[in-house]
Amino acid sequence: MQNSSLRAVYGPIPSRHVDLPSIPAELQDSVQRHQRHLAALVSSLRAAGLTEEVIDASVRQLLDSYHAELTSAMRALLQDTASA
Amino acid sequence: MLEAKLMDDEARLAALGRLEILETPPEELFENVVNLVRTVLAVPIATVSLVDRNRQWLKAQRGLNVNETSRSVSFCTHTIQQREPLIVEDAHLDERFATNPLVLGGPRIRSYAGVPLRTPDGYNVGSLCAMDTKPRRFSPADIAILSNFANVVSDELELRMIARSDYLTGALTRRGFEEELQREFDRHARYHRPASVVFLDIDHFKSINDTHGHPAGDQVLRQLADVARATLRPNDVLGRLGGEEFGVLLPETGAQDGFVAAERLRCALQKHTFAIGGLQTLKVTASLGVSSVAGHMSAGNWLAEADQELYRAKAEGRNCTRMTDLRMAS
Repeated sequence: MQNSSLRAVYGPIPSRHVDLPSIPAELQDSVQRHQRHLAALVSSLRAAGLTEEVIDASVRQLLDSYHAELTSAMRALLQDTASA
Repeated sequence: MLEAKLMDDEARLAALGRLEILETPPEELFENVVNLVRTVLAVPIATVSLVDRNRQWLKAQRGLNVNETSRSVSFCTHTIQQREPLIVEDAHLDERFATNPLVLGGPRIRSYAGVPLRTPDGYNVGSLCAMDTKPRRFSPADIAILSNFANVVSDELELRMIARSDYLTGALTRRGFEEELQREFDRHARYHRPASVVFLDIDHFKSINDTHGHPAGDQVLRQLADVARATLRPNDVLGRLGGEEFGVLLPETGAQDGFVAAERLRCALQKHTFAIGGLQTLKVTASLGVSSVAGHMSAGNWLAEADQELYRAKAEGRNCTRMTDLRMAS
């Protein structure tokens, strides 16, 4: 159950313990849950018979937009920490 | 408890409001999801629908030429009343939808699968939907895919909430609170709706930290937020503005009612026994300043005025509420 897009970002999938030292504690549960959901999505797409190329492209799109939001959230949290 | 949340539409609408997503421009993730749902499930219509009080608003859609419909005709208003996906294989054979104008007329929805979009606090704010113009059996594999896409959308909504929430108390951060304050102020400027803001500061908090340690101080902050949430209405907004400072935004609340709400909160805190670990407990009080919005001020001035009243409450003995407009004092 490996997927190159997910591996590139999160490592082997599924993984119960992900080391995310650069992610603020506030976000780690959310990020790990997102990882599990993406892994489940990959499984369901594969079970439906989609090709690896389609799965990779789909997941890559979701990851790219999630990463943009995650970066924005991390920036906001850092600003809040700095101003507290 | 979770099922009670399915029935509490006011609290659900407040949860939707906290997401601050209605009327926002198109965004990449949601656009990607509807594109993928349409492609992968081979349906002509896919939407991310958010169910507002009287309408469903489409954050993203493919295959429709509208961005909202009335709630009364929406399939999604049925979806958000359950935890499981709603599946309609043939709308003509379903008495809930057979005479629905979206079925009989454009876009002529004939089959539907919708998965609730759930916030971290358990409210179904909308749904991810796949629709076809012909009868269709959605397989378990189709529903699994749609559910997993819905989880990704819910993750995104959660991420936004976390970014605006204080980790310790669950209240909004100062930035998130100021955004809500500005939004309420704009609503007042546009529609002349009343609103009040409360600035709250825990009395002698430094001595709590000094005497009992910072973990005890953190317990007090957490429990204060819990007491506030239990005391306030679902659509009131709690924010942590600094160390032991909190703000409460009271929409649709004039000066007199704002003062009453602040006093109710102060009394609830005074009555509460704060557990700080082991068998140790504390009694804690707070001072509050209240300001109701007025046309001559900015959002910043509005909060500053409440802060001035808080300062007055501190100067006049603490454990009390002060308010400019009414010159009321408890």
